[in-house]
Amino acid sequence: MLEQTKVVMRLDGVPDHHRLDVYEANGGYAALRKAVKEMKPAEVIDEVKASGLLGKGGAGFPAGLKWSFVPKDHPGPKYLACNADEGEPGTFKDRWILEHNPHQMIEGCIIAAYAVGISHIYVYCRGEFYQGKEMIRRAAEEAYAKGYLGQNILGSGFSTELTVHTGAGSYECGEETALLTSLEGGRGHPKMKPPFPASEGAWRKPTVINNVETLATVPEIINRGAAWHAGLGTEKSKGIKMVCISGHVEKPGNYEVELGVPTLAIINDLAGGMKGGRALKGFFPGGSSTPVLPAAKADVGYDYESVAAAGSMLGSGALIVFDDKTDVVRMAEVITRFYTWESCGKCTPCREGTRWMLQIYERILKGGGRLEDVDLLLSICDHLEFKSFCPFGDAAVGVVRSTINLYRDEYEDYIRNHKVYKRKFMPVKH
Amino acid sequence: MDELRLNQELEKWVKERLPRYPTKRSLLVPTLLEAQKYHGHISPSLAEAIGALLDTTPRDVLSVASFYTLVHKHPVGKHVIQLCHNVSCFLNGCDDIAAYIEEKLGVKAGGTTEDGKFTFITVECLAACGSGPVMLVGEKLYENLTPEAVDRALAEAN
Amino acid sequence: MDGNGNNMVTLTINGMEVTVRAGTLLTDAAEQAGFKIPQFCAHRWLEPLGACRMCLVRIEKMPKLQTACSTVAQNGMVVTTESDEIKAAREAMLEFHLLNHPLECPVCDRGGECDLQDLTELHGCTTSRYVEDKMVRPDAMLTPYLHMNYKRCILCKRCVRYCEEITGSNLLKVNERGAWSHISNFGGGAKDYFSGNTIEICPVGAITSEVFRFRGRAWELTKTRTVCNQCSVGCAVEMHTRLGELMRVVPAPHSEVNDGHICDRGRFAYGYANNLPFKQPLKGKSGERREVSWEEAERTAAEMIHQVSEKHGANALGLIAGSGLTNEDYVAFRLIAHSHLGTENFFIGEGLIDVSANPLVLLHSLFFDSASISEILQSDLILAVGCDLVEEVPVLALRIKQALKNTSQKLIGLCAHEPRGYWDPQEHYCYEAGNFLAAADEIIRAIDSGETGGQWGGLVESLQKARTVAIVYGQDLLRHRYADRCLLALLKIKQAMYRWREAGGIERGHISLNPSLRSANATGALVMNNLEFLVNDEAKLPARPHATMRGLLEKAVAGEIKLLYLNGINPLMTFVDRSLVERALEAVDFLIVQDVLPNETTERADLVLPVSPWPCREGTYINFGWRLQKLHASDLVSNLPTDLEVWNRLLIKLGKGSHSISPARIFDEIARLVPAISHLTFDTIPEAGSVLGFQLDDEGARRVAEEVAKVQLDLTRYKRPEDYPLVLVQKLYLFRNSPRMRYSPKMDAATPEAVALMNPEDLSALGLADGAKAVIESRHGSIELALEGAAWVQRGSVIINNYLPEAPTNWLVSVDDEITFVRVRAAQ
Repeated sequence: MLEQTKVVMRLDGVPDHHRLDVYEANGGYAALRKAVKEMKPAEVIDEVKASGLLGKGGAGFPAGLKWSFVPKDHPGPKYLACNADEGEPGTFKDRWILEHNPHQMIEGCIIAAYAVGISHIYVYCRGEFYQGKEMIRRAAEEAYAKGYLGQNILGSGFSTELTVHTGAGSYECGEETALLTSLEGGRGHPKMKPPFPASEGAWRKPTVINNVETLATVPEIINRGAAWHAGLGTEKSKGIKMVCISGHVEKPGNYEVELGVPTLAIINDLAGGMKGGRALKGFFPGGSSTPVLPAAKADVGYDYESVAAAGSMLGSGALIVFDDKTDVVRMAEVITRFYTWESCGKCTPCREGTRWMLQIYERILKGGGRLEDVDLLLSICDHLEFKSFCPFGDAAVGVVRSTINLYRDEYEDYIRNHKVYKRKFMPVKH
Repeated sequence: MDELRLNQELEKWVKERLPRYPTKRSLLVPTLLEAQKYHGHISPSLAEAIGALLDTTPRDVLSVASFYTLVHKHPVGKHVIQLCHNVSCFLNGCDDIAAYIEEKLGVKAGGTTEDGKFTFITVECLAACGSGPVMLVGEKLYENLTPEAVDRALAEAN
Repeated sequence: MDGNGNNMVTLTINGMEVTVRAGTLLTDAAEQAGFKIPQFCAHRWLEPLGACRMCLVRIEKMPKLQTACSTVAQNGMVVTTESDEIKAAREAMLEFHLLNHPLECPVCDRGGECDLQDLTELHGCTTSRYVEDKMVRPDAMLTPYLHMNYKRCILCKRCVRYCEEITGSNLLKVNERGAWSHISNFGGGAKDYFSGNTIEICPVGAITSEVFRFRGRAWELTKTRTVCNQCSVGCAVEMHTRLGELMRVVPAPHSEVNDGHICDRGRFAYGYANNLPFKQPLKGKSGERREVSWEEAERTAAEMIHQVSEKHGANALGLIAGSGLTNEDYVAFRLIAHSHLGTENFFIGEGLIDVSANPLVLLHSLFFDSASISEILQSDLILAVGCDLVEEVPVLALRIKQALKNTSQKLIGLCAHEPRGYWDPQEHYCYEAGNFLAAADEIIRAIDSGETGGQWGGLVESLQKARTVAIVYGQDLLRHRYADRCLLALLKIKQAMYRWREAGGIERGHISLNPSLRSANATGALVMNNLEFLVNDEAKLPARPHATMRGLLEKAVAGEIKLLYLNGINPLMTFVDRSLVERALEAVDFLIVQDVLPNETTERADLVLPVSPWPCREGTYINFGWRLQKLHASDLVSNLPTDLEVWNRLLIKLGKGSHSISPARIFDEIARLVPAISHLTFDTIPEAGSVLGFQLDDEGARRVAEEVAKVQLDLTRYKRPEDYPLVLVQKLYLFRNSPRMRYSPKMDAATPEAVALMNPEDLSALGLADGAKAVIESRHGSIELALEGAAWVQRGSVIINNYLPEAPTNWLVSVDDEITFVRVRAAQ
């Protein structure tokens, strides 16, 4: 029976652990003390590097390595953008952290700031996270009052500020450079790389961007040591991961596991198995941007390399599970509409390609599909993939190509039989 | 175009936060959301006033405003209902809830009730996928929606 | 390193080794190697965007295709720009670009010069797989001149970036997001004098010219390179004609003057040339005027000239040639006036500056102190004195703005009003309206005393820090009686700086003084009017007492000049003192006016001789930066003769011999005589022109400095009379309501309002409201205008557009006044 390995969620169940006093009573801010009093900034970076901590926002990039890219001799200022723009469909772990365990995230932010020499932390929060923003604001206030933020933290001479900055409804702003553009007051368009944010980020200053969960893991790495963390998970995916499981399962929710555990165990042991006893048809391993995997591959190890080998991606850790009664064409249409409406519009292939695919889906669902539309969709995927300005274009391709490859017969069923999907309502762009 | 006087509370809010950023324009997106609380949607005259406060042009303000879903360029109802219609909520039956809300309020998705009380729109993932269907009414999140839960939520909005 | 000390890198493109300068983008490196990479959103003026994805190339060791427009060539890079993979990628990107593009080439103005057409032909496929509904949005006007067809827009955002990065107007922005993105002006209200350049850089037919709309197909147009005649910058432009009509004016390629940009006035105000009101000469005063044949007109002119000359002497003939004529016109004019007609009373130019007070120093400064445009753009400090750069020399203002981006160079303004909020300099200082001389005195004292506090401290500090300085001085100094003293004051400031440098043993470079003389070829006029100082001994140009416009007009009033022959000049509107002109025109027995368009002065003529317009001009201009450039005549159909032709026929009628009507021959004659031009012939003048080196040797410079030091400047601080407490500031606007604007279609939208601007506090002190109709009067005259409050107007001054046919400011000015004081009261 799969057990959880709670690190970020270690205080789950402890009432009010969003409060500073409760957090401290449960070991909170010990890591910060250790870092600023006993370790040099370079040592902190080395520790995080040695731990093998991978970014938890979707890209899985080694966090310590990212921190080390910031030029040490830069006169500053340097910034940390904590990416709390959780928008990947299926993902709801960061919101949990913001609302229930904000201090562990803030502590991680401050430790990161200390390690890299950052003078201002911006927590870029989705506009829709009204509760989350409020919790972080309150927690930051508490941290300031206690001297964990602001000038001369714990007498170390190190100072850093924290500001909660709101987004206003744009999925693309979760992409690190688009987040920076939004932070600077602009439209959420991604920036050209190089230069990379570590050398030229927000306001053209060195900027580290880390996901909420990544930062919330840092205090435990400092507390328990890099070796402890590196001992968890697999060879190439060290550590743990919060998994957000949703869809047709009995107990959807957030769980935290060692990387590498069998996905099926997450579904059955932690999430209570398929809802209503129905059969598993397929699943998105890491959010709507990751290609669908069939039930046959459900035992894949839940880690970056295994899921990649199976033909998908771990992504943000959003495990979306659907059963055998699911209309996958309609489901693919829902997701394609998401990409079309959320595309920032900067580059031509994504802007035009996503809308094209959506129009084809809408036509198929209206009974007007043609047999060549299936291969046309695949062709659009080939043309869009790896050619857009940012990974958004690649994300849009995932569901289309994988559902066609796995469930082509359902597409053809719609087309051959001029089947019409009975819409219960029609979404309208606001 | 009539000149608009920015609400004093709003101006105070902005000026308090400006020192936390290297440029004034950085505060634009948060200001747009905050300004909506006092002035409603972002009209051209509001854009001009915000632009003057943040050292940028009204065109820049409107262009940025038009990029973000939560920023309204046209008048909206007193309470904006945002129901997620993305994949996990779809798998959990958000379409039925959407149809229910349409019927209950007498407007189609995208519309505003005649009395101006509610604007109902369907939106993308609200990061509450484990408890779908979900919706925001104003700033409050309602999860595990059923028709009864919808009734309760709408009743709370006054 | 190459021979010039540039770092070089070597890379491989399609198997070929290429060596390029470090920092070169792959697109340029590939072009150097002979491979053209398709691009839509990239443009040499703009920062790379990487949005259209047309320029994707394969770079070894990089997993994904990369955009060549944003990748800098590195040593050892291995790049493939031609392969099946790249071919497929380009086809795919073009398919996306064409997806929502309407197939309306047959009705699109851009057809034949469209990047999308060209690239589709080269890289695209011939069929469309798109069967859905295209994104449709109705057309809109982004400005009165920019027609936006949204259906065609491929969202390359070049137009948005041009207005952000180049002109800084932020006129255009993107509205909404994703596939619903579209370019918007968000209700307008942003001024941009260069918006027309977005027509050129738009790679498709989305932004098109409203003035050129549906007037011709690109391949039917005959292109003729020439020089614009709308201001002294002298941008290189191309006239595009079709069936003998001028269809449009666009920037010419490869110009060091304007580098491919032109202002909207040069671009759009050309239509007058196609529909000239004058068809034949006109004889008789207004009221009894009739069209006559050229034969009769020339006979009449010859008769009158002969009569006056016989009865009163040759000096009773007064001849004036205004701006916009070519150097060849001016030389011919001089010779005809002086040698053939025998009069000393001729003048070339707009009568701006009277050098007679100190010709050595002033002429030396006008000729030798100025710099080329390149030198100005490289100066550490550019100081605009009494000159609103963007109104007077717009494209120079644009080039300065570009040159100063991301450098430590500075632009400082010194003028009689606060920054207007359009094209504001980085730093600004104010002198009291009308009192520049007093301010100059204070600045000189501050430099000499080494004091860096006080009102001018910052300016003096900037002057001290700058290695090279370019002072551009303009209409607020030049349009006054004391213009010559303003120039002397600037010379004294320059000498004070040189003294300070010498005292401190500080090595520094040139301080140039560059007059902004307003009109096209005003520099050429200046040269030709003072040719006797510039020719070699062989020329044998007879000396003459130096004439001024004022002098000629006064002689007319006094009855010494009996016949006035005006060429290409409208002194009723452009001379400082209208009543003097009125009296002069009244006094003469006969007035001949030779011009292109009707204006206030042609209305008074006894004989109007119409000539062909600018598109028919052939010859040379000298621009603001002393660059000599050729004008070429287009094939515009005009039955009217050129100025040279009219003068020549007149000479023949007078039996005074004849004169060449070939600009080339006339030029070659001047070149023989003027050392600065003697290395050129008309045919060998390069297409991009040639900067004339009027150089002063060290000895000459020393003598001039001595002269300047000797000059005692009268630096009276003018005191306001109690009954006329406001100073009149006449402001030059680019889009003034001149005949060229009035007779060109669709220029109403660009013409500024006829208002008098005052500081709002002065308005309320007078008890007058914004918009109130007022009488503005001086001791000499009055005009009526609506008032408008503007915070940037200095208290105690009134700013009025100096070219308002409905309320000419020169009614208020007397040629005797140093400054013009006025008062304002409500109109009845």
